[in-house]
Amino acid sequence: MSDTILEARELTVRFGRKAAVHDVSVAFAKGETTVIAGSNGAGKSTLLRCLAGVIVPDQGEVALGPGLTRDKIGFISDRLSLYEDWTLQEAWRFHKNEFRIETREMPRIEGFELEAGRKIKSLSVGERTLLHLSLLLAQRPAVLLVDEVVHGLDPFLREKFLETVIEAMDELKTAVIMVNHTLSDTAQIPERVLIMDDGRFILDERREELERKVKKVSGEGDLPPDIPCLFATSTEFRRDRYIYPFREEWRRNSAVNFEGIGLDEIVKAFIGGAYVQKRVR
Amino acid sequence: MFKKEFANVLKQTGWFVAAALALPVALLVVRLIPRQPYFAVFLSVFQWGLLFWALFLGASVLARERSQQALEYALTLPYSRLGLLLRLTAPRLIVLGGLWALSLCAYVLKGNEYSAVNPLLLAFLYIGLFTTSLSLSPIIENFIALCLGSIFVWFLAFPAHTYLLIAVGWAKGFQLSGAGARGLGFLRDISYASAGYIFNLLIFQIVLLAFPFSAALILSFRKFDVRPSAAFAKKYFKTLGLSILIFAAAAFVMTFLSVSMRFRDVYLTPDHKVVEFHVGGARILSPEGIRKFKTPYPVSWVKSADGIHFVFSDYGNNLSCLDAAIAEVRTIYQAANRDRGIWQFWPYDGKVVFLVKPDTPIVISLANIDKPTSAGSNVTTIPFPAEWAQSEKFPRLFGTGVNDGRHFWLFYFEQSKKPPLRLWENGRVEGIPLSDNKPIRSALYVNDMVIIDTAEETKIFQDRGTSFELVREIKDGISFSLYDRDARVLDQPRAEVIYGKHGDKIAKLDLKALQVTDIAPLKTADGAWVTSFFPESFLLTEIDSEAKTLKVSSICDDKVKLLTEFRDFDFRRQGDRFNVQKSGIIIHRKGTVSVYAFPDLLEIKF
Repeated sequence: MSDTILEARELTVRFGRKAAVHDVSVAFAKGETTVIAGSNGAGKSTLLRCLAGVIVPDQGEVALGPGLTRDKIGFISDRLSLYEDWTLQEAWRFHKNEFRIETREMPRIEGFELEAGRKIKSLSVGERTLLHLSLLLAQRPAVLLVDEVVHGLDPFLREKFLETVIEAMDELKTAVIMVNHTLSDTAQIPERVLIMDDGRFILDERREELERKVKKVSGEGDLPPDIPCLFATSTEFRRDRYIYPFREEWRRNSAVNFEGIGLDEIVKAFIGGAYVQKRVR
Repeated sequence: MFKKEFANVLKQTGWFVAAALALPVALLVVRLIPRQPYFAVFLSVFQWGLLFWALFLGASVLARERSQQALEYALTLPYSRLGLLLRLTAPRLIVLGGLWALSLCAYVLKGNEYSAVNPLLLAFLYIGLFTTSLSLSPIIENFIALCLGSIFVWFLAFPAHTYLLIAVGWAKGFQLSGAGARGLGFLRDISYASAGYIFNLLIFQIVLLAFPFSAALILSFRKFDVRPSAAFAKKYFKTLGLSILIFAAAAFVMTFLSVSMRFRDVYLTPDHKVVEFHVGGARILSPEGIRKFKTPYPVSWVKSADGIHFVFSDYGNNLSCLDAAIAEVRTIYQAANRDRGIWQFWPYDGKVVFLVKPDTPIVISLANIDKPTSAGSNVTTIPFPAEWAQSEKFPRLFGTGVNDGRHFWLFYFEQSKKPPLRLWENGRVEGIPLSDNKPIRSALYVNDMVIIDTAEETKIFQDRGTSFELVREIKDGISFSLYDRDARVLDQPRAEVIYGKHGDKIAKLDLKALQVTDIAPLKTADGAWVTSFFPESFLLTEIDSEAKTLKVSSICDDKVKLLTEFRDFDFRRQGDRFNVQKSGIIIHRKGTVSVYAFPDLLEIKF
């Protein structure tokens, strides 16, 4: 990609003998929004930490695109790491000095106010998440890495968070790479979907392409044998089969009703399929 | 980051300083220690407490980040891993340096008064401990385990240095088997004598410890991340292993080069042969050629018995004699127990008196130079008085004699307030009554008189056979100094006069009238010695540090006559020294040895 801003090249990260990320290569473009999904332990957070520089890969490298420097990469981890005995004021002052931020006052998120004298350890998870976001956005990041924090926010803060992220994308053309399980609120945000399983990518598609290529067939009827079934669920009352990659001609040539589904359900199908594959192996 | 860290370290150090100030008060109030000035206790507490603080400062480098879950945040700050390490380490080094500087100031002001440890020596220990704990901090997350592990590793530097010295000794060809602990003591002694305490501390705290651990940390820290420390530890230990090998090799080379094998004891025989000793053996140089002798154990002390026989002790605790006339080495005495060292020995009149230590009581033994002995045979032993055995000062034998058929020996303890004593061969002890317990600078037994110099006065005691009677006190504020570099007065010579120093003058002590008469001024202030080969001759040696000269003059008939002047002799230069012997003068100058024979002081060359 000519406008690549961040690239992982043949990354391998091990925890003991197990490879959490195995020979992964992926490039991210400027201003692109990507969601990384996958089963638990797939290596998503490990990959994100490699991109953030928090983990040094055992093999491979993370290459910064032209003009990108480390101070322009913002990372919100699920651990919400900050010095806990600091007050908000102290945290802002430190962050401002280290990242040479010119703004005097910490950027505020509309509708979300915190006292400057409060200690970080006294903040709730949601408050810490938005504090992190405020600090990182003050850096005017070119890349924002977000690791599984959205699902822990209440609906109000989740909306505030996503609005702020979208504003950053619009104003700063920030590339956002988000690890997320639940995509019900964020389904329309990502342009690109990556799904990981067992340390590797099993899917890398544009969202629109993916929504076009994945269909669901509900009901008991048999499917023609040449239609690939990614994943199937079956209960007493319902049977669903997820088809990937879907071809339009099947709609014309068979009596099967192929439904379009949202990104949330698409991701669930892929993860389910991966679990099935593991059981078979 | 640097400012935050600096403020944090200063705040913690405040607690250390407060504890160092308060602890002496508690110790003195509760009387856990004897009464002494507060500053004396504080200085000790501060100096030794700083060892633990150095450990803490190194070990705490990542402690805050770990305990406050801030490590991920710290690793995303806009600098490299080494940049982060530098910002965390520099404040600690600055604070440690500042505390050390404080201890240095305190030492300079009052340290000698209170027997404090030289801060320069302690600095090496601080650096060693700090770098060890700093280096291990990324791989050991538990703080207590880290501190204990660091202390353990720090202590490993001591045996590491010992094994290094063993390797150097082996490379130099020393035989150490059987020498036991004394063999290791020899290695330390020779290394310290050759290169000094500072060099040796540099080797075992810096080259063997601080450098490899620092190198391992610096080279591997760029791989440090938030994974459990085991992942990083593998990379760290690989680098550490390699660093240790490289710096151990460097330490070996440095120590090997520093351990001097130069001939350090050089003698001129009456027939103008040159006898040289070094730690590994001896050689005799003559017009006929060179005859070498390899001693079974490293040589520790050498003394000339009569200019032909040279008695030497070794680290195998033997006493041996090199006979230059027949070019032969024979063992005079062999210790039965290798742990009993030859502590002091004095050859005279075909015999050698020696003290063996540790012995309770110390035994003074007498052996014949010409008759080889094994342990216990042909050796006369007399118990040394127990109260003198506890003295921390070296005893010096300054006179011998025979009275009513019984031998006696006269000892004094240099710079000690203990009075001199006479030890009879039947074990009886007789004190020489110095009434005021002033430290003795030198003592002489001549013409049945004991002459004692206590720096401010000179006292002369007549030997009455079973006691000593004070017959003269010279109390003009300046004593008549009998100190000479090689005491040769154990053969009970008789003389009419002896010459010595009287303040800044050469003076004569008339042994009949017991009067001191100044005969000539000493021209240089840097150092002057009178060497006596009485009753025949007295030599005056004077050094001038500015002009870098060594002058040798004879003193005879109350006149000082310049015999020769040696140029380019710098007493301040390491290794430059001289030795006046009965047959000539040995000059060590700029790493070379020159031998000049009496009477004309022509240089002996082979």
